[in-house]
Amino acid sequence: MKRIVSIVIAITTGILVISAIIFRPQLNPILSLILRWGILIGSTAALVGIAILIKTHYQRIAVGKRGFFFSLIVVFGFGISFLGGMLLGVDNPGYQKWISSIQLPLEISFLGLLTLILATTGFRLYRLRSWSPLSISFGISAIVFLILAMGYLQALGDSRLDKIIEFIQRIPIAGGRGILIGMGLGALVIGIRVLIGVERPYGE
Amino acid sequence: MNEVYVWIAIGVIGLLLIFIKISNGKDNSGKIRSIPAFDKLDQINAKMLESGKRLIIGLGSGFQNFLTSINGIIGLQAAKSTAKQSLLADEKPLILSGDGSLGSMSQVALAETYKSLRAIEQYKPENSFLAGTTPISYAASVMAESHAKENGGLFLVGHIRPEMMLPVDLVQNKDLVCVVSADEPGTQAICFPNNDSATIGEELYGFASRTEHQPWLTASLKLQDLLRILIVVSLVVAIVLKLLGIIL
Repeated sequence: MKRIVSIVIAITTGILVISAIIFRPQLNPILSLILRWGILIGSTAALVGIAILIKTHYQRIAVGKRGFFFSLIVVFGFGISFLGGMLLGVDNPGYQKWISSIQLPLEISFLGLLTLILATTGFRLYRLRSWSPLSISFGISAIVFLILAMGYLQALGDSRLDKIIEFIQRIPIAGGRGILIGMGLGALVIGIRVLIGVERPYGE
Repeated sequence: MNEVYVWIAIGVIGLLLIFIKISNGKDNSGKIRSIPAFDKLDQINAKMLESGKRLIIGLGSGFQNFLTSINGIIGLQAAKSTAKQSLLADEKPLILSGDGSLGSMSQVALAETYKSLRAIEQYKPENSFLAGTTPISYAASVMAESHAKENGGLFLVGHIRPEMMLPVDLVQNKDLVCVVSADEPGTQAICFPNNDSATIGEELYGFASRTEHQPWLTASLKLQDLLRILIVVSLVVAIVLKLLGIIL
């Protein structure tokens, strides 16, 4: 019974949302109502998720699992931020400054680390993938587009060369679109499977 | 008017899917070309069972910040099939989500899977949780979990963002196996040279049909191929017509 109820809810919601998008002005109230419900359910799910996360870290601290010190930092950081937000309010400039002065340097250093790792990527390519037509073409195209992105060739001011560069720079867009079409079709078919009730991500 | 075309297109594609499914009968072979990344995943699962290590499955930031990505569903399928495969394993897979909805759905999916296998006692809520609410915090959390000694491999599947290259790098430095099946072309481009087990393009959708063997999944793949051929033919025809000056 529970399974049938969830399937009916999923199919009805899907059809209502698509119908509301198509018959926009008439069904706008229904669309906004469903979206509001969606936001509410999504936010509740996030709260449940955070509660489970804290519980998991608390259990790790309680049993003294290896690396529990990191769990201690997570729980402590969460507790302080949560209390600060509740007492001062999330719009409080002091609270926002406090949170962003911790979050921003952390995120920026993380991205800096990512940049370093990506810079070493090229050296790994041939060790991991060996010399295959795909890896060779990948390496060549990476070098070509790095040179083009420097802008030295464009600075020469040759109109014929500019046209060739423009053409070359359009090739990845075509490739990217090809991949996106494939991904889009896959997503569309999954959506239709959910809509007709054969795909049930919410159950077995 | 354009919206009506969308409605018609969805209806036609839905009918085509049903038609292909009916014409296939009970064909659930799911025979598709070999995808090296998923072949490796089968080997990892077998290895995990022997070595008593666990597999970390990163579902990515599925429905986060309204950048809805239905591909999170593929991650849920991965979580379910890995749970089935590791029923006899000492260490159960750890499922990390980057979004509250996906986290809750993975909990429900895991519980339902164990229930269907009559092994609900194997279900532990701490084996699936929301690992971070922002993309960076999610990547950091996956890194921290990947560092644990009981970890034997990492499988990232669904809406995976480029920051996830950091846990991928960590896992590779520890000589563990990592499989990345991302829906973002940017992540695919970053992971291709870094990882010998990354899927490209729509290979992501081949995951479920390899493990689940359901007629609907086989029909879906056939429909995707058919639609791709139709799009290619339409593009070529449009180019020819444009060259001939018939359409502007």
